Amino acid sequence: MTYFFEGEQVEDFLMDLGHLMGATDFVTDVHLVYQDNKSTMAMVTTGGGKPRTKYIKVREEYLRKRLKTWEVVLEYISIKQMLADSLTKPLGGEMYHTMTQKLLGGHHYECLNNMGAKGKLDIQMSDSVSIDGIAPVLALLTCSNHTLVQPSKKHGTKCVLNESAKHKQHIS
Amino acid sequence: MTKLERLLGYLIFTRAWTRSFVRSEFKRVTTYIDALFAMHPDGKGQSACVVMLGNTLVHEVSQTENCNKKLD
Repeated sequence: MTYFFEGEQVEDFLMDLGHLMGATDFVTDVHLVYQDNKSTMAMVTTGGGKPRTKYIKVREEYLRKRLKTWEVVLEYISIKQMLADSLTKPLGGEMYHTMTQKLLGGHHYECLNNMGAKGKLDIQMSDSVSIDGIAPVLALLTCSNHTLVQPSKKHGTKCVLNESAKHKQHIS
Repeated sequence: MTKLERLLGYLIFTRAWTRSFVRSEFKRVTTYIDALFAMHPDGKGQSACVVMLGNTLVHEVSQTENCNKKLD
């Protein structure tokens, strides 16, 4: 639910940017949120689950109000199409490449073939615009921190309680 | 050393990968939200969010959750 607010803030920022640029048809459709967990969706739509903390309940109510007024649409998406998967779990080779390709704009395979000697991309060969040409816009849009997810060891049902503790307690 | 070699291999292989702005209609903001429960060895979860404008990636967040998994 925290990330829903993050998406909303980005939407507001982009709408303001569109107004400043004088674009009339910039971000006119409803904000669409994709989620791959049906129980999380049920918490918001039908009020399921048992929230143990107050702040979750408040956020739920806010999001539910937005859904009722059709300012936000919440939709289910399968795991194979979930783009945020590559940022949470260590994916396999093919799946990782597919997701990364979608995230980066879907042209880096073409770009690999069109690369020059210094690694700069040939813009004319690609349908997309290279990042180097629109650096000021990029600086505005990509103000996020990117964290690489380390592939974790398969610990199965065992889980370490506290990393700093000397005596590691395993639960089965 | 194996991990370092693997990391360097990844960096060399992906050095040409750049973020591109694809020509598409910028009418809708789409947010993909995903989380993984207790994936870290210390019991913490991992959550991520991807915000797309049309077919273009605009904003992404990937971070470890603050709270630990409740262990019995």
